[in-house]
Amino acid sequence: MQLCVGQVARAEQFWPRDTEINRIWDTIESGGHILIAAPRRVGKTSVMYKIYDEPREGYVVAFVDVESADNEHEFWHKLFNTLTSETFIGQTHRYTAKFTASLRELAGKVKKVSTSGIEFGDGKTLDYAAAFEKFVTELQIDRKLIIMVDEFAQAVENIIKYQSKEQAESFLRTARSLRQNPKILEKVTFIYAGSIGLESVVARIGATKSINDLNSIKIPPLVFEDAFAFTRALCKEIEADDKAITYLLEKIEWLIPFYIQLIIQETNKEMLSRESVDGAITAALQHKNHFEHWKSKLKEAFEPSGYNFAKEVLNIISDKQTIKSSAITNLISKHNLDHDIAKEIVHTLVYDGYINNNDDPKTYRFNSPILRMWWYSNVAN
Amino acid sequence: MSLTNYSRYKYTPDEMEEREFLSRFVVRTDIFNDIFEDIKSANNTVPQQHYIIIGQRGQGKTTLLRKVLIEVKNSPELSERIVPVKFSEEQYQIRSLSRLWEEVADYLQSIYPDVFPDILDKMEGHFDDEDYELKSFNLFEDTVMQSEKKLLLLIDNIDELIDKLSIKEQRRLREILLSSSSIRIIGGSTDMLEQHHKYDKPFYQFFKIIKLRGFNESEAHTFLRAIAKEDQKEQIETLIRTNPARIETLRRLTGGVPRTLVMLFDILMDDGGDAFDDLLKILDEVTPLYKHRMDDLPPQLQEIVHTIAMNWDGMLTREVAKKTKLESKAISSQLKQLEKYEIVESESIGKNKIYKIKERFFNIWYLMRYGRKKDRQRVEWLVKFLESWYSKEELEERAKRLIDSLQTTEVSPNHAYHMTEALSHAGISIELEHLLKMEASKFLQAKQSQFVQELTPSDFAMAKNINQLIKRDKIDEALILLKQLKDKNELSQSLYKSISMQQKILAQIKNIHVLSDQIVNFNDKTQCIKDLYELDIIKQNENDPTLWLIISLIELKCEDYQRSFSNFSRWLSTEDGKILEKINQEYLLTLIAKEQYYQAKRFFEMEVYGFKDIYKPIWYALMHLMGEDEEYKKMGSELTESVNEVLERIQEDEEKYGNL
Repeated sequence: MQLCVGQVARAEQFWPRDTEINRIWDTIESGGHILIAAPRRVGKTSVMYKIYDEPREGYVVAFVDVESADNEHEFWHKLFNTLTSETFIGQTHRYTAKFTASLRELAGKVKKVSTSGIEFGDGKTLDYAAAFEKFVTELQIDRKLIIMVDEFAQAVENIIKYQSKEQAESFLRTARSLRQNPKILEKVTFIYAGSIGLESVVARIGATKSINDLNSIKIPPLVFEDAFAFTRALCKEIEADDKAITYLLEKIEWLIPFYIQLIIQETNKEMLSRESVDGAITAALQHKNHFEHWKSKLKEAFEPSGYNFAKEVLNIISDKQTIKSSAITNLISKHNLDHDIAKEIVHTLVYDGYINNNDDPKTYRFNSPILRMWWYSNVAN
Repeated sequence: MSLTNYSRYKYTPDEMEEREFLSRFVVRTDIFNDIFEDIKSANNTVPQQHYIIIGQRGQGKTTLLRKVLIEVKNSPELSERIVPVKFSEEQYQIRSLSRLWEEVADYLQSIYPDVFPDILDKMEGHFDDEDYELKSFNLFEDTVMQSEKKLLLLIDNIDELIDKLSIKEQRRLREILLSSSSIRIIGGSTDMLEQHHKYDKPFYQFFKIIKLRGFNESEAHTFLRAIAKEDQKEQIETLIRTNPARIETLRRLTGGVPRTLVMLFDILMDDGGDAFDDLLKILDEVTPLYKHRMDDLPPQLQEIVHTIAMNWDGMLTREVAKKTKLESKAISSQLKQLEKYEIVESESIGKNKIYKIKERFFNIWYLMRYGRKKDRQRVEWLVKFLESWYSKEELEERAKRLIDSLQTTEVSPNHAYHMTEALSHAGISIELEHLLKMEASKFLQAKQSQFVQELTPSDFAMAKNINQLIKRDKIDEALILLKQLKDKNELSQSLYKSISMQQKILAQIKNIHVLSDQIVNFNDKTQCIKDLYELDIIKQNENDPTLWLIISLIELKCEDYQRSFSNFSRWLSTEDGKILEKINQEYLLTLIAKEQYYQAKRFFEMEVYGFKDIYKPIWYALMHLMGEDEEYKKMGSELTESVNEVLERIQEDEEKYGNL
């Protein structure tokens, strides 16, 4: 097992997540659209790419990352771009001849994607939804086309920011109606994922209904045994006895492949021991590029008062390990926030992987001791 | 800014000849191998690991990038499928991603026309498309994919490039890094985080960040061996074998940063001065950047940086507090902040922390730029290096060599000035320092260099000055100059002694008079003298010149003139007698008060004592009293007041002694 820190884990670098993958396929086969729900760095994109790299018989998979889309036009541009690109069409070994031919023909018809819509061969410009429907309707496909949209929530957030709440709402509604359109439903499955919670973004503009058709599939951290095997596989060139690995995993607690790899990377191939693990953790925390965004994302997402509130909650937890909901309520008053907004903020913190209240609904703690340590040294102080 | 503009190839890894370059790449082989292995074994169908190499100026980022470039090009297997693209300084005009891809395309079309004959042309065909910006990468990538090659983008100062991208473009970049297997980026970036949290941008998570640290001891040895010129190699070997502590000190002083190490090494090894000129050129180059760095800081932090930089050596928290007059508590948090910005770094000594400027080269720049002229501040860093590198004898050798060079004018004025100043502070002998300063002054004068005014006076020259001041009883001024003496031993000790003597005796003058008056008052004068010599204190301190003075004064008052004159002359022949003017003055005045005009005149006319010059007012007063008007007329009118004061004093004394 080769270390893969930060990049998407592809091919041999992907550690099997059969349970989750199977669950996704089961949902696809039963006809539902999917929202992959998991906090940052858990491995959503890697899972998506696993599906992309190894689709089941008869399925065709397209992957598009839309995080730089600032408006609806760009979103569609990217989508159509992907569907008509050589990269997508050229994977003939994965397709039936009929499909490939149909795809090429359609690709040829898509003349222009502009701000007014999409020009389909016959000179007519259709609006995006109509164009997409036409595209799908005319596509000759046996099973299904899976369209994986990474960073969908980011695109929505961009639209809120650079256009308006109303446009975002309208965009979401359009997306939903497309998903539910029988002509599309029978041929296309959408899978959405992203590093920020779609639920939180959508809740902020009161458009929760627009995603209530999505099946939420969680990607949890690895269970201990699995994490142990994963670590063992990573330590092929490193001397590591079971005790040391156990110590490492206990320290990390929240067992996502990313943290495990980050810390192993910092041992610099030294023998694994309590000391080297501790040292590696300290070194890993220096990698600002892996941690800064936890803070800056909050700044982006919330108004200043909300940001300060969120920061203070996390500061307290980073210091005292936990915080009670009554203390949180106290902070809400301190920061003069609307209770509903504050609740949403806490929800976002949970959804995006900062904290959880799994053991006791009234007590919140950081998911990851690693993140907690970083937060304590670099934000709380 | 990338550093590509100086003459000396040692500091410009890009301009060195390839074979030379490769022979000198001996230390960071582990890092290189890790990256190279990754490149070799990569699965080419999926997106690659991207790297950013971070390190302060001179750590070796550019070198590492070039090494990768060369090895990829030279590997028959890799060069088949990987095309390296090296960015040059001009390409930093790029302000958008589209521009970036166009620049790369341009590069590919020019440098690899067989493989990419029309990649830019193809893109240009779409420039006018409404959605060109959105499509630019796809257009670019399509062509690259068709060629079945992978691009390796080697981008020095990548942080500057990225800073120019809008948030949208940064997101776009992340999309690309995530999904494209056509490009791999290896970038170099300086470590300066300042107030901007650079690494919170989303795509940075895709980079594996390699931090370059300074060389450790054995790395420093390996490095020096590799860069030593042919004729220096043996010297280095011997040094490593017999005196590794020296190299270790050099390493510590430079923080183990390769380029600073090379530069200092050059300056130490090279007598001609090219090394120094190169250093100054580089300092010039980095000035805008470093100045910007300082300007960005709030005033209090600037002050703290200033204080620490001026000290060169590390400072304890409380020392910083004292110097800056800021509260200790406030200082701690400021220092922590500076540490976060990576401008200072701390070392724990027990419970205390010592802070120093992290980038030693920045410290050198700071001293050279803000160090007081005519003060050791400017060359403090060089003094420390010289002191730690050379033994006292070797320092003197070095100084002598410099004197020789100055005489044959083979030296650059920069080198002459700075090295002279530094050597003089590093502890060469007083005589040698004086010689060196004189030669340097002559030399700089001949070269019409402005440095000639900035040369500080040698200790020897200063001592002369100080002596004069002590004689003229200008003790305060003398003390100020004394503090500036570099030699804190021989010279200053003897001068301090003179001052304290002077001060002691001045304090005692009153006592001497009182004492002598007492003795004279109550005894038969002749007996008094006899008794005087019987006194224990006299017997025990027979050889103390001060005693002769006191005795001569007593004898004067007892009118034992012969003995008095003889003892006074004895006193005058001593070291102190020659310089303690105030005291001698007392004797002369008493002499004149006792109407021994001719003896006084005789003393004045003994040229060796220089009394006519030193006690001008007294001389003219004497002339007046002796009625020698011709001589008296020679007096300048500005002395009238002083002369009158003297006459008054004599009058008073006459009244006092007239009764004896």
